[in-house]
This record gives sequence, structure tokens and C-alpha cells, in this order.
Amino acid sequence: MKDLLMLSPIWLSAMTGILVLVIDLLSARKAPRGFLGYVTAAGFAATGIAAVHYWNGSALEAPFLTGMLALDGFGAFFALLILLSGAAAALFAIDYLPQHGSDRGEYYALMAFSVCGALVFLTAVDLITMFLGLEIMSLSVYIMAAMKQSSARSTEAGMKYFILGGLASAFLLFGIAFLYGATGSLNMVEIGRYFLEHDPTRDYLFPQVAMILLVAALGFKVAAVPFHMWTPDVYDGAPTPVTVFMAGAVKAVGFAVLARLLLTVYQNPAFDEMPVSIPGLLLTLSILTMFVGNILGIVQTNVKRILAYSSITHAGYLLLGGYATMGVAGSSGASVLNDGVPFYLLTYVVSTVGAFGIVSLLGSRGEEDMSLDHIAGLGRRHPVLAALMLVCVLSLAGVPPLAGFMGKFFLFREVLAVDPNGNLPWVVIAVLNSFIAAYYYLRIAVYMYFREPGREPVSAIRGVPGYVCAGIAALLSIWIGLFPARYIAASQEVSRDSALVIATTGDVARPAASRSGKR
Amino acid sequence: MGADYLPYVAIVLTIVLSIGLVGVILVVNALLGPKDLSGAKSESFECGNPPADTSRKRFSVKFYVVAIFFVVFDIEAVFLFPWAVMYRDLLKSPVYGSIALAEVLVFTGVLAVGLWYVWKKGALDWAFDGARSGGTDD
Repeated sequence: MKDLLMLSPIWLSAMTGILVLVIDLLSARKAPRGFLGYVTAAGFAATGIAAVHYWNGSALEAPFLTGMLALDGFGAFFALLILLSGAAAALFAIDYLPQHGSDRGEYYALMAFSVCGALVFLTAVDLITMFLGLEIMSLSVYIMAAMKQSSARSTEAGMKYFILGGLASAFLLFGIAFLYGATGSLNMVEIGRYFLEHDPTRDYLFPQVAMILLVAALGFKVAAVPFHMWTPDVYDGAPTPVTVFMAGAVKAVGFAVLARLLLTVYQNPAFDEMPVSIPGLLLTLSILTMFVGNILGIVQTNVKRILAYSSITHAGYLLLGGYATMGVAGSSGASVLNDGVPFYLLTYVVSTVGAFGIVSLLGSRGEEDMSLDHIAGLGRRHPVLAALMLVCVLSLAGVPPLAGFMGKFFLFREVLAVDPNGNLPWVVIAVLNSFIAAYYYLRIAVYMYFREPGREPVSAIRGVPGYVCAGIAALLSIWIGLFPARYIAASQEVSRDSALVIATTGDVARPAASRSGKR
Repeated sequence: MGADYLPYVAIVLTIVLSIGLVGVILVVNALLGPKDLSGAKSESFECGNPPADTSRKRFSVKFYVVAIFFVVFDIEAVFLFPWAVMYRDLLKSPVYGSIALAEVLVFTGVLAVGLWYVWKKGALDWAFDGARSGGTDD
């Protein structure tokens, strides 16, 4: 019984999907399907309440569930980010889908299934369960990305995401196979324990290859350079509410799993001596991601593609946080996720969901030309939407006092706190990149407010749920920026849970000449 | 050290033997078999595909849908068999007997909704007329 309650977020989200499917079957063929969006959002709200209420870190009791899932505060925090993006994606779709000729109930059902998969992916400790969660999440997103059947670009987006997603899944499976080959276990905690009890310096080959494969697979999901190639095309071609979900939920869950997996499995500090060490790899990816995302973002002329490159760049900042893991006082030396990362993800998700959501409200009746020229003069024609867009975009750019600024400020401060001298150059690079990024964010603002409308000024969908969602996202972007203390405290609390605790019997096996440096 | 590799020796031997056997059969066939080719003989047997054909050939997408459904509902059977085998043992425990029954009911329930869905959408009609796609005709 307790297990059922603990698992309630997972089955609640799955039941939401089945319920939506059944309601869809029972309604008249020609009837609009928008009301299913509210059903989905309500289901996600119930799921979120259940996650916050029941995910307290206690273990599941049934023997066949022991050690399969870690349902703790870390999971609950990221579950809320997933559910927030999912609910926004469902609500923005209510008016978007009919306008673009794909008003189908399946969209809402797939959104619920995808969220269910994301929750399994997020909380899994067993690597096969994790893979199943990833596939449930991704397969639904592939279909949703290709949902606009009349649009060749949407079909292309779905196909591209599917093929590259399959490649990433293969990487993940290979990585899992190497870990299994090295340790004989598929459980993160067991693998971590094996590496703690057996000196891993004797044979780095398997854990090394596994680490690179896992980072590649999850780097694809979070759109880190050089695994970012699909991002602009897919974000641009997919129906915009789906982009909301991909840029928000998929990225957040990707970072959560990346952190938990690497920190739990590679807990032995001796792994820092690997030829390709985790901090080194993440730092390289981070700097590459920041620069490539920004430089390619500057030359874009399409709002959706600008925001896609912006989301790549944000992955770069987040990877910098992933690089600067922290030591925990009083523990066995296990390092945990930098406590700036969950907070940064919160600010990023709120603002990017708002920005992509507002883009989904622009353009009606099947046309969706999101070039900068097309949104020129938006400030005069649709002042409310333009103002909300301005807030979200400025927050993404990191303009004080908005949420994005607090996110960056706190993340960079915490990265510096880990190693004030060593990390200074990387933080300087990140700050410089924020300045580069400001160019293309402000470009959107300039086009909205200081350019004359073109020959065919952009039309906008007038729908209550979309406006309310965009309003909430913009308000949250301001609110979190002004009063961040609660969210920062939550972020600090959940990041302590990021590495699963491993109870070892003996001393940690270290190489003879051990370094005691933190990761 | 050497003993660790013993299971793999068997695998390698199996691979070598099977390739070798195929090779032997082909060689013996080529040496001894009568070669009396005629048009009818070189056609594919029964309902087999033509061995060489254009790869751009079209066939009905209906087969694809049927194949997908077969996989989905075949998996159901694959999961039910081990459950049925284990169920007698599980019944001995007062707790797990009911859990196992509830789980299999949920499992088949979800699949029943799926069957209802594909039926209602008209995907089971071989001659698809489109009239029944998506919900009821009210």
C-alpha cells in the first residue's frame, strides 16, 4: 500500500494518458479536443502534488521493487519541472493544434505518457528501468514532433529526432553494457559500491568507455555540443507546444539523470585519474557548448531557431555547474551536484517555456513563419504578448532583476565557491558568453518594438489558456528573480540528494598515491 | 586465467562449425548437384518474394499496421505465459497472490483499452473507409 502511494506520481501520469485516450474515443468525431488539455493539466497537477507529498526518500518495500527507483526530494524537484513544462505544453496546445490542422486527442495522451516516462527515467536506479523510462519518454516525443501531418518540416523534425534519438539510445545501452561488463550489476548503487570497494585504477578501460558513452547519450538529450546538431531543426520544425516540452522537460530530466548517474557510479575519487576524467570532459563540453551555441545563435534570423540555440547555450552554463561538483561536509567524500544547477534549471525552464509558448501563440491558420521580419512591430499589434515575450527573453538573457539573472548569478557564484582561483577563467568565459547571448535576445526585443510591421504582420491566436500560461511564466520569471531565497534553499537541499548514498563495508579503495582533491 | 575463456571457446566453435557446415553444403551442392535450370524452376517457391527486384517497390501500408498490432498483442501473450507459470507459486503467499492477480488485471486492462482504441479508430478494418476514424459518429 505504501508502495502504491510512493509510486502514485508515475501511475497517476500514466492513468491521465489512458483517461485522455478513453475520453477522446467517447467524444464526437468532429468535436474540438481542446478540453483534453485541461484534463491533462489537471492530471499533471495531481501528479505534482503526489510527487511532492510522497517522494521523501524512503525505500520501496516490495522485494521486486527494492533498489529500482529512488523517490526522494531530488526526484520531486525535477518532477515538478517536468510537470510544469508538460502542463504548459498541454495548455498551449489547446488553441495551437486546431489552428494548425492537427487537433487530435492523441497529442494530450502522448504528452501524459511522455511525462510518465520522464518520471521513470528521472527516478530509476536500475539502469534497465532507466532505459525503459527514457524510451517511453522519447518515443512519445518523436510522435508528437511529427504531429503536424500537413507540414513537411514537422515530419522531418520527427524523423530526424527519431533517428538521432535512436543513436543516443544505442550509446546509452552500450554504456550500460560496459558498466555491467565491469561490475556485473545493473544497479547504479551496486555499480558505485563495486567501484568503491575495488580499486578502479587497476583497469580503467570499461568504466572509461562507459562514461564517455553515457555522457554522449545524455549530452544528446540535453543538446550539448557536439551532440546538438538536431536541436535547431527539431525545435524549429516540431509543433511549438512540443518544443516547449522538449526545451523544458526533456532538458531538465536529462541533466538530472546525468548528474545522478555520474555522481553515483563514479563516486570513487580515484576516477579523477582516468585518462578522460569526468570534470575534464564536462568542462570541455561546457565551453564548446557555450561558444558554438552563441556564435550560431547570432546569425539566426528565425525566432524559434534563436531560442533553440539559446537553449543549447544554457546547456553549456549548466554543464559548467555539472563540472564544478561540490564536496559534502561530514560524508565519506562523495561529491554532489553543484547546488546552483537545480535553481538554474528552474529559472531556465520557466523562462524558456514562456518564450516558446508565446511563439506558439503567434501565427494562425497553419502559417507559422517565425522570421524576425515577421514579428517586427509585434509590440504595437499585440502589446500584451510582446510584453510577456520581452520578460521571458530578458530573463533568458540574464538581465537583472529577472529569474535568469538570479540563476546565472547564483550558479557562477557557487562554481567559484568550489575553487575560487581554478574556476575563475571558466566563470569569466561563461560571463562573456552571457554578453554575446544578449545580442540575439535583444535583437528579438528590438524587432518587436523598434521595427515597422512588414507587409504581412504576424497574426496571433487569441486563446485564454495560452495567454494565462504565458502570463504565469512571465510572472514567475519576475517573482523568482525578486524573491529567490525559497527556491535557492530548495535547490541546495535537493542537490545534496543528487548522489545516491552508498553504504560500503570497508574503506574506499584508492590508488597508492591518492589525491584528496574534490572533483 | 585460461578457464575464464572456456565458455567462449564453445561459442567460437559453434560459429566456426556453422559457417563451415554451410560452406561444405554449398560446395558439395555445387560439385554434385544436377544443373538443369529452366524458367519455372528459378522462380521463387510458393509465396516467396522475387529474389532480385527494385527496392522502390510499393506494397500496402495495411500490412504494416497489422504487423504492429501483431507485435503489440503478441507481447501481451509473451508476458502472460511466465505470469501463468509463476501464479501457482505466488498463490502460496497471502500477499503476492492478490498483488499478482491485480497486476495482471491492470496489464490486460491497459491492453484492452488499447484494443478498444485501435478498433474504434477503424484500424482493424481491412478495407479502410475513413468514415470511422476518430471517435463515434454522433
